[in-house]
Amino acid sequence: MKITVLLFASLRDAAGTNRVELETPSDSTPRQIADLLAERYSKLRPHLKTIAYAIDGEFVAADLKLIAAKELALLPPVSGG
Amino acid sequence: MIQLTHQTITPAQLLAAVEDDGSGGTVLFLGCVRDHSQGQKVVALEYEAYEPMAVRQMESIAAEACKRWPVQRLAIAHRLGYMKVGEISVAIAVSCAHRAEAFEACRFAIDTLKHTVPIWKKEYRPDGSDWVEGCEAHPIATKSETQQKKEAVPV
Repeated sequence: MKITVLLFASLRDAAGTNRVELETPSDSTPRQIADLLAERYSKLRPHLKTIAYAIDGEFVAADLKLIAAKELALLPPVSGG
Repeated sequence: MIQLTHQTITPAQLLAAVEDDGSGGTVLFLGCVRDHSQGQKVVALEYEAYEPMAVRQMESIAAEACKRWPVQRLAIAHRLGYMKVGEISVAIAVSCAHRAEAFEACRFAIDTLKHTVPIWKKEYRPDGSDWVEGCEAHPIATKSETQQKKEAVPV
């Protein structure tokens, strides 16, 4: 499964990019994909404990098996307002 | 009216958006850039969002507020980009028949926004800048979910 991972704010700064294309097994979970990404961008690792996940703009659980998802967003703790 | 904008937020625009002949009370909340944070001087803030999701989350907040209280109209605007001290970063206006519901719905909307909307701010201080890590993001707890949780607790 080809998936685009979107990175924001502190995660983007840590990785040095705001989007990464990845090829993953089709039943990967968001947490597995984030782990895979942290192997490539080691500075992401310390952030992984506090991130939330969204698929195509909706929150999803870290252990949801993804089938044919196109876009996974990794969301650091939010600070709007 | 639900809006992400790079322009200056004008409170009058939000008040106009919630005008309603059936409303006897309108509450306006403005969040502004403060000159300090945790004992340190702040000179500016920069906001960014996962925009399509942020808009959807703000729409969900509005929908949930309308379920919980008899809201006539509700408007949320959040600004993105670089803002100096004193500028408005977020504005929420709520009109209801009576003031109590308007205060409660507005409070709910801003409190929920801070937990569920994918927006991030970077603080600029005289000695550098950092992303502010606020609340771990999570979806809105809808009223029925909250009730179910309460009901699930054994007495």
